[in-house]
Amino acid sequence: MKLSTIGRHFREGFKNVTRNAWMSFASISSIAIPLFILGVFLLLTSNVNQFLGDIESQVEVKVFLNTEVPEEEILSIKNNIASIEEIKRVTHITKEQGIAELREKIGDPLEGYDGEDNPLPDSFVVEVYNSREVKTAAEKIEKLYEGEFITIERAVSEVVAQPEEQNEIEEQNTSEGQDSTENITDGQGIQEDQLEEIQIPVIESVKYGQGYVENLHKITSTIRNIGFIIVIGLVFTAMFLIANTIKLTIMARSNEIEIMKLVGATNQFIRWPFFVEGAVIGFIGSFIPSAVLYFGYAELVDRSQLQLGILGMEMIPQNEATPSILLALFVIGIVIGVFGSVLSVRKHLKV
Amino acid sequence: MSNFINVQTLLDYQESGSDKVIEMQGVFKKYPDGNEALRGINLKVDQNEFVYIVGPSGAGKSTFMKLIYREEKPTKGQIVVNGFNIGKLKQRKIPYVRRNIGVVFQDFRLLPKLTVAENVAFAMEVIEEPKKVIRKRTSEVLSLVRLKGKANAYPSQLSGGEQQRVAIARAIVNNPSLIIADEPTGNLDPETSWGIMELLEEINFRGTTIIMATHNKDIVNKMRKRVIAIEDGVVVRDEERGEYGYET
Repeated sequence: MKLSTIGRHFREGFKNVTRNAWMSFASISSIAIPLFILGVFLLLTSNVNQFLGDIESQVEVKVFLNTEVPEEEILSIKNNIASIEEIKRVTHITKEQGIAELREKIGDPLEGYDGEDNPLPDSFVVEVYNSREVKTAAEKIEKLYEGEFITIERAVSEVVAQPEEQNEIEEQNTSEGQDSTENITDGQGIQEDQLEEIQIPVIESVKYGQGYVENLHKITSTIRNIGFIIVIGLVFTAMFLIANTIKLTIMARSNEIEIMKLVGATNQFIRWPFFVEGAVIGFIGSFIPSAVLYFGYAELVDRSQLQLGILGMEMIPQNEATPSILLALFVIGIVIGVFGSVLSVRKHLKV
Repeated sequence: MSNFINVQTLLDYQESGSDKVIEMQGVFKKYPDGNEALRGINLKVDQNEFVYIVGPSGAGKSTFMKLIYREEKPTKGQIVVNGFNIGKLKQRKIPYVRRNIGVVFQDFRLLPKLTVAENVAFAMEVIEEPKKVIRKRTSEVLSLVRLKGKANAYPSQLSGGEQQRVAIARAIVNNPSLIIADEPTGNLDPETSWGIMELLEEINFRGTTIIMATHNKDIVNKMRKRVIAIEDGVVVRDEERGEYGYET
């Protein structure tokens, strides 16, 4: 093929788009509209995915230690938990941090529960790598200290109500409830002659929102699957519409093809301008929805920022969300345009 | 690429050993629907002949013409056109055979969105002639058909006779050795028809073989040429300077 012929094919391809303005308009629309819908769905599903990911990443395990666990033990417990393979990070929330956080939420009624009077236990916030493993991780943590007790001493005649209640059950479980009063470590307002040695479990409780997490996973995977099915369906609808329109375009031009064949044009020669035309139509047909989505999405992110922020959600920023989707739209548009026209011409070349 | 194909085409060229433009031997054409359009055609057309093909509608005239420019393939028999064995021609070589045959139809078949000059140039673009040659040859041909002043008009702005002259210009622009005209005056009034016939005669005079199917008794009887009558798929008459031979 001569270079000038290639130039001619491109010229003709472009000219054909303007010559058959209405047909081109129909083809472009039939590419642009499904692609636009597809783009909207892609943006929607990627945002839904982001929201779901956010929600899932908030799933964590809370480990409450017994209030009596001495401070020097806490670090080794923490390290033991952290060594479980599913676990990503363990954060220690001290009693003091705990009360401070609580105070932020409910305020005044907690006045005065500081220091020794702090009723809260030490706790760990445990993050897992995969939110689906949260249950396994929780079970492993429970197992880790199952049947392990620490021995502490405390006054039987302790008057403070709260620890009393908390330890009632443990007291029953302990076999060696009574012991000598030899070991006197510290007093601090406790009657020294009435100490006893008891055993209590290290971990008071492990909580991860049992039930709630499993349901969340069901819902998120359903939403993802539905989004995926809709997107696949749209791709096929778009391809069908476009192939149909281009078929119509070419049927309207079968005259032209017939004449080209009569004057001795090779099939290659006939096909090229249609190829170019298909690409041009595909390009314009994907450019329009891309531009609308690009600017429309930026506007949407801008306007929804405040409202969504209140709900603790955030849309994917435009510069992260749009490029890959726009690229996908362009590729789909041009491929459909080219293939649609080439396949339809091929049908007419068989004489 | 195109060079390679041209060499191949030359290699396929069968020297028929004569100056015959068309040779048919025992040609049959049966359509898939069972219609037997041609049932054993034998004939030869020499270089520079002018031949009328006459006969009632549905006798096989159109099929006969279509076989020559390989729109249809014979079911039996041999057709050699310009030295190419049409029946055995490979699909991808058809374009190269057609470049040596100009075709003119009753309904002109011009491209409505191209100007007169563009319609003519189209036939040369298709065979990848250089631009310079295209421009020169287009204006030559347009002056031959006396349409130079309408080069930039669109087909819809022309009369039927003018449109047919554009079609003829397109058919001859690549200097074919043969022109196939399927009822070229069928849509034209008598006076315009004579204009077209004079043009065809002039082209024939310049050395191009013309095969023309027609129903126009006047033309056949006044402009005496070889007449081949086809009826029911066979040649029933073949005479030099013949008459139309049918009542209209």
